[in-house]
Amino acid sequence: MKDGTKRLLIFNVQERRYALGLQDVAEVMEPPPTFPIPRAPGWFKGVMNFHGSLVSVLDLAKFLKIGSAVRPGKVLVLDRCIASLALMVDRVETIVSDDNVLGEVAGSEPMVAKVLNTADGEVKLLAVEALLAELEETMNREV
Amino acid sequence: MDMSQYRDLFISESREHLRSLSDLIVALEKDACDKDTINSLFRTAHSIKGMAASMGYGAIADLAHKMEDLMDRVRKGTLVYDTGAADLLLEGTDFLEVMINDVECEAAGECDISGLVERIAGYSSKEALATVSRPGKAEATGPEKISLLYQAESPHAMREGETQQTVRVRTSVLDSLINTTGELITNKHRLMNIGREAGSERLDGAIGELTRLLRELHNEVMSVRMMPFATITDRFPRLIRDLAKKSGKEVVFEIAGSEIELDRGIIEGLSDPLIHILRNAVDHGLEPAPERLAVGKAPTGKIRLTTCREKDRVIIVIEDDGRGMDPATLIAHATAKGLIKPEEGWMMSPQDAFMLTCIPGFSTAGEVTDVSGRGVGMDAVRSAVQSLGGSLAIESEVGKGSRIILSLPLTIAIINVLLAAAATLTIAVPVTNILRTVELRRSVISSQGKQKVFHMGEEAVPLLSLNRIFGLPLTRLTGDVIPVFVTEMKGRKVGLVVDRFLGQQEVFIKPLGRPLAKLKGLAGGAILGDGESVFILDMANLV
Repeated sequence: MKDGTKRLLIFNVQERRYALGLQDVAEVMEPPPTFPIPRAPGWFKGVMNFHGSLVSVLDLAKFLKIGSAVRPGKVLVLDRCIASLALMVDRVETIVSDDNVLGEVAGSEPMVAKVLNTADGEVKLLAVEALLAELEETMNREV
Repeated sequence: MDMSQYRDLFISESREHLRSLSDLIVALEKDACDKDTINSLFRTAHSIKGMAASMGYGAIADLAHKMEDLMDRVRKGTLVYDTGAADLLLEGTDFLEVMINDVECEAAGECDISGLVERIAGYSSKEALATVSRPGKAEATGPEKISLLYQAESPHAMREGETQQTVRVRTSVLDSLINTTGELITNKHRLMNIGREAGSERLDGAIGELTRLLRELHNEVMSVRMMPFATITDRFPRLIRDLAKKSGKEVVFEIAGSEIELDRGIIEGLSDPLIHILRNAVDHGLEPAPERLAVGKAPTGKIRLTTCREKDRVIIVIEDDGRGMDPATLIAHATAKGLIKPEEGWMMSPQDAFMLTCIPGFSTAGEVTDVSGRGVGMDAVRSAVQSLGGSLAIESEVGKGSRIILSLPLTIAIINVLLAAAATLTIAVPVTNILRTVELRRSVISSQGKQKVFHMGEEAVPLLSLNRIFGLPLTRLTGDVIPVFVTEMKGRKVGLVVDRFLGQQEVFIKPLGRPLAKLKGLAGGAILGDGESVFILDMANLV
């Protein structure tokens, strides 16, 4: 793989294909035990102990209003420089180099930065910053 | 030669010098003939000049050089140190601060100091001779006169012959030390849980020894994180001077106990609240000189900031001899604004009435009066103090003045909490936020309207359910007693009902990070010995 090439982690939520830049993901793990978060909106599964840090676990499907995470699923822990957040998804599909992206168009959904066209079909690249901003915005709202 | 490796050292040392510079400039106004202060001022400007020149920061060196020259003239008796000279030197200090910030940010220097340099070089004051040459009469002169008394010893002065046995350590290393200590404490609790299950005497013995060593380590780590209170109070004489000048009031400012040490986390969190309180004292607490004279007071108002240690807490008192506050007026104001019901006002003690100033909405920008002025930003002040595990109380007497009393823990990163269960949740409450815990018999609970209350002495304390606050299912408490902890929320005592108390424990506070940090009512989290994650309540913002 040539220098400067980015890699994408492709995962599934409710049969839809999403992607994150691999550099934004610290770890992919089995769903850990979680503890309830008082007053947090229902899309938060709870908080987990991630190597001594508290990381909130988000049911991505629930947040995107496309259902709920399918068990057992996987948890994608975001890089700690970005947030103390992990995304609960249905399964991890693959890791690809962005050389495999044949084309892209701007995302039309709020949390989607781009829709990437790959040999295996379309993938929605999550807009991490927009997702975090929306989570913060709705944090104290009754859900 | 590459000087960049020395840049951080230059920045931190220059800032230390700047702090003493402001302090000395203001202190010299009190006694313009104090040779020690004059010499210290000269030396400090000289040090900044030398350091900046050796690093190649020409503009900083030039400005410091001119300030040094001005002090040299004062030292030689060819210039009288007066308010004008102090103003120029303070202006110079401000410019130096900006330029040093630019060095830190590696920003291109955009400060035009030529005008200031010229004014400093050309400064002479004949008018001031009359005022300053009669220091005995100085305090009673015109409305522009500001007298400041700064009693704290400079923390930066090193005694002659004292060998420097210290090294500079990055603050991030200090934070990392306390983090590791916190993790060790969490792991100690984990071992204790295992020990309880294993029932091994040898393991218990080893854990006992570990506990002793950890306590020692914790104390040592805390002691290196301690910073003198002077780190923030050094700039207060200057602040008060500027505020007094702006409002045309005469103020004597006294500081005592600046040598008391607190954790750097608390020191950093205290700066803004204290500035708010001091600003309110000058702007709204103290009367203008004519008003003071009319009621038989000295024209010069007095503000005093005192710090002292009481066991494991630090008490900070900010007092003024201004107009004071009238409980009845405060109650009427809060009632008129709909913040309290009239019947609540009737039953309110003077102490509770003073705390009304801390209720959000008591003072709003644009309608500040003598009544509401003391409340400007006080809700934020109390919230900040509570977040640090501290408490705030107010005492006041009409015509005599006000006292704001802050009580703070020495440290914050590792704290004692009360663990309690509320439905499926385990929550942690800092013990510093708990006035008392009680197990109430049902017979002592009565109703005031729809509100359940119980009495603590004469006072009716409302009861709130923590389960209800968190939107959790209400547990049917079947026992004879109801567990309640009494705390203060928005300046009022409240009894919070929980399902049961689980005990007290020392925990290491972990930040919540994005996005959970936005969740109201939580001050952080902690991991218990059995791996359970719990949340620490932020009583100031719970409801």
